[in-house]
Amino acid sequence: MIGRISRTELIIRVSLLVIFFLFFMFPIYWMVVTSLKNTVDIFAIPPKWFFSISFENYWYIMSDDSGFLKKILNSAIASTLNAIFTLLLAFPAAYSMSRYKTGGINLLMWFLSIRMIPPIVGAIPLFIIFSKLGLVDTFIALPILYIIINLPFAIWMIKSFMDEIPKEIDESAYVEGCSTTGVIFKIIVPLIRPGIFATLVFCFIMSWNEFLIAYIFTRKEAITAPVGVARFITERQILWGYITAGATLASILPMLLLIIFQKNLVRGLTLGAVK
Amino acid sequence: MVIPAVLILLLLTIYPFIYLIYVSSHIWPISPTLPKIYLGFGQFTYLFQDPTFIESLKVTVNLMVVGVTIQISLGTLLAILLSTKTRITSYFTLPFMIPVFISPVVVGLIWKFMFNYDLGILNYLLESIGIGAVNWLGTPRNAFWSVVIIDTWQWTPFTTLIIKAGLDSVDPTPIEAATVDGANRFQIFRHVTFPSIAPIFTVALLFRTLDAFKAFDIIYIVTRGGPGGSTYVLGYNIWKTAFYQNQLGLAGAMSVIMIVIATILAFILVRIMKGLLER
Amino acid sequence: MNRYKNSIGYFLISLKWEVIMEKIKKILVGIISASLLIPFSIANALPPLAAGSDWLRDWSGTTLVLTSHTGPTTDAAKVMAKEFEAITGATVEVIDESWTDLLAKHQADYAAGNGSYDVVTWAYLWGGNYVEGGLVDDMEPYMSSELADPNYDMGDIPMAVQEVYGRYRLASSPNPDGLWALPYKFDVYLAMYRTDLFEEAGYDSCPSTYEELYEAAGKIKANHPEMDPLAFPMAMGGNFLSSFMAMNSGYGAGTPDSWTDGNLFPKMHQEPTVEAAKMMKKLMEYMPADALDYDFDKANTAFAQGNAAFTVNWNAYMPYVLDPNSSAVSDKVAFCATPGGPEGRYSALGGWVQGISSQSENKDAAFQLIQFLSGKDRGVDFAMNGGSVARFSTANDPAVVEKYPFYPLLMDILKGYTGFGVYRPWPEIEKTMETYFHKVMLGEDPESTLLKGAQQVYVQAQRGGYNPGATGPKPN
Repeated sequence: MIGRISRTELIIRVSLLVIFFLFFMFPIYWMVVTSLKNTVDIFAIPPKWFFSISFENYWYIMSDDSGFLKKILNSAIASTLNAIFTLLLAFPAAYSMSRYKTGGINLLMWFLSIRMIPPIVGAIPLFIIFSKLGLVDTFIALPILYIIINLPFAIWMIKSFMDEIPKEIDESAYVEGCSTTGVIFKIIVPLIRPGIFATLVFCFIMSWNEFLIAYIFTRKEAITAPVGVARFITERQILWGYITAGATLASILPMLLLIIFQKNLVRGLTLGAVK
Repeated sequence: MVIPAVLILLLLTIYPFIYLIYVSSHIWPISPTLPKIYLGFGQFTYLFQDPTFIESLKVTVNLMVVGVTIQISLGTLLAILLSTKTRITSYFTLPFMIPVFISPVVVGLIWKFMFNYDLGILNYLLESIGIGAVNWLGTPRNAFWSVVIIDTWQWTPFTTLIIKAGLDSVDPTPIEAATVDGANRFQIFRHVTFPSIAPIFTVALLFRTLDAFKAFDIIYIVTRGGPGGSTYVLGYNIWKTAFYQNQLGLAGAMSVIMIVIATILAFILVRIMKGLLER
Repeated sequence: MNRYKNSIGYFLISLKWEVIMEKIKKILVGIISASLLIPFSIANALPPLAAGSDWLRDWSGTTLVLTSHTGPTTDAAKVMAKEFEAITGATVEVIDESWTDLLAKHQADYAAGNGSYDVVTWAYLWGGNYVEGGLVDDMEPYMSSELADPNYDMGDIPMAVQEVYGRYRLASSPNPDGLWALPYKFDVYLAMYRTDLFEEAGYDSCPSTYEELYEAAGKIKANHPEMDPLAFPMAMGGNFLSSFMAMNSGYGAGTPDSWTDGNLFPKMHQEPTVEAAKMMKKLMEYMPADALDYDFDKANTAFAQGNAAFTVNWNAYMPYVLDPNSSAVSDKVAFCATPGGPEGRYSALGGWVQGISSQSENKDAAFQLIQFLSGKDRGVDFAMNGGSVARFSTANDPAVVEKYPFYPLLMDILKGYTGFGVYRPWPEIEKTMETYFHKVMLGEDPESTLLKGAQQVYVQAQRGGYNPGATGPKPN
């Protein structure tokens, strides 16, 4: 967009990119590599760049002793349920806001402002309320609470996909005698299928990565993966082998989903500002 | 059809908010067996005299301003680099997005490991190039900057993505015209490109500002607010006051103040977004 | 029809198969754990498994959940819990997590009414939250019941520990004579010094007062100008108060609570504490420039690497200094009580205790597990596995002394002891006090700074629901 650039500048630009690339990639590389070392190698000075791969950390992490797999499963349950709940609420809302301009721009903005509430602020009253209802540390607590975080995103995201479908398509369907339900399921849903998937995945990842609420609202049964990883920090030594192995396991799924759905996920992150 | 969504959000936000105000007018221990004492505005008057609270408010704002400034500047640079039209750059975009989609807990832990004074890789690298080890998390000043580094690592990709989207949508014609007129590249950026990406630039700025205001996870994992309160951000302060110091009422009052600030910030953001949408 | 029956038959068979597998698994686990434990008990010349265990009941089918902090003592407790399982048939689930989160977790769990735990472990300085908050039950009735270990022997536990760990005698206590907890992890603050450096400076024993320490540090500094002879944990987060506590009592601020009186009226602005703070400031002359960032770990590492001549720390750190693998000074280190002041010589007492969760459904079994873990019969076992045990019989056991030579000293120095506050606002008050002490260490005027701190403590005590006004008006 800035027009032609000289060869030297191109080299400077690319080498800068490579430096940034190293900066952003190195921590992830280091996490994975550390998780594959045995305890002695982890603390070796100078650090071992070449080492014999050991899965001892993963064996421990996946054993019954650590119970980490159960936490991964809990995360998966909470994230899946939340993604479904959120979609069920967001789709009709987005449809009516896209097609009938329900609530106009003010309602849209109200949803946006909900996204801005710091979660810790909601945590205190909701903790008291959930305690009274006996919902703390249950499988249903997190999926419900994550609605606050994800619903505004989801509505904006789905709406931005729907807005791209020309209204004429709906109208011609109505003319041909299609009902509203028909239009939704036969025209809108198939057309924005990638958007719906991206929304589900987006909600899933956001719930999967969430820490604060999971930390406050789980105790023992419903602990999620991030809370589980954070727990490995102990009194005197930090079990880096286990932590990095747990962290790697907890990051694999979001990274895979990112690779598959990359473009549409960014749209969610920016509430549709980036298309 | 918006009703279910609106109802659920009202139930999960407005009702708790009213309840929060009620809680914040009391001394309210976590344990239900202990008595709750009505204070009225007592918690708020106490807060404004509490140096720790004022300090944590300052820390939050500092972290927000410093962090966001760096992330936006770096994001702009990266966005410009990434819009270089060569085949290589397209391979870079995806890896740059990874930090945003990893749990902040994981991010905090990796960096905490790398920041380790004796065993961390960073100090090893610094020593081997002759700079000498840095006490990353040991002193108030360093800990603050370490948190900024972590935050920058995780969120610069986000600002980059937004700004790059802005750059991609810039109409090339005026730029070509300006080039023909002999304007230099900085002038072009300043007078042509920047004005057309300014709104989306503001969006990135405000999104990041509000997210930085919520900081908790990384602080919790990496510094726990220390040393010497140098990273004792508001979110962490609230959590600690509520669940560790057993003062739900006081934490509630802090929360109310935090909501007020967040609302003001959100109001500004909403105004700008509205302007963008109505254009 | 036949087919249908058949399929149900298959269904039943498959179900039973699971049950059988489960039983085989249990038996196998039992055999394995028993076979692991038998050589162990022989090696320590303990009586066979069942003897001395007849007070334990059959708890088959009961699952006990024990919550504790991660660390060597809990690792040792996990081994002991296996033995408890083998004897009683109970299942013990040990949940260990970072100590920093325990209080918050326990309080939140209690408020939510989850009743997740049976045996609760806490740092005694959080006592107010557990006792006044109703999280734990009074154990006195259990102690005199048939559930109790007849060989438990309270007299074997130092009086200081019984008092500080088990009792809660503030006016706000639900029962001032109640026994709220039994010892779990025993922590005492000790001094460690380099015999070679002190001898070189003309000292053949550990300095007995802080003034003497100051002089000694000066001489060591003269011999080794590049060295900062003193490494004290001085950081916020409990480090400073731990190091300062014995000094505070030594200068006359009182014991076991040198911070406030029974009504939570602050003492930090009064003369003894001001003098003690001035002494600490004076000692900083011989500490590293970043002394206020030294936490327990850092101070210990500095000493173990040979960068300091004298340090103070919890006994849990001593094994690291004695281990040649982690210490460069293992052969030239000696232990002693922390120095004294003009009003006597005191040792700071920390530690972790265990009680019965008031929301437990298995309180009897929980009580037996707590007694099992802290009992006299297994004290040596517990210590040898890495636990820290507050019992005379354990501390004087030859095998224990061989492995941990400082153990007898721990008992000895408890004659003069001092501790943390135990009331509910303690975490807040601790933070306030450390903030103001740090200001003094950074050079602000001690009198006026500590007075400001005392005023804040007074307000915090009031807001915690206590009545410092019963002692006097807000300090001014």
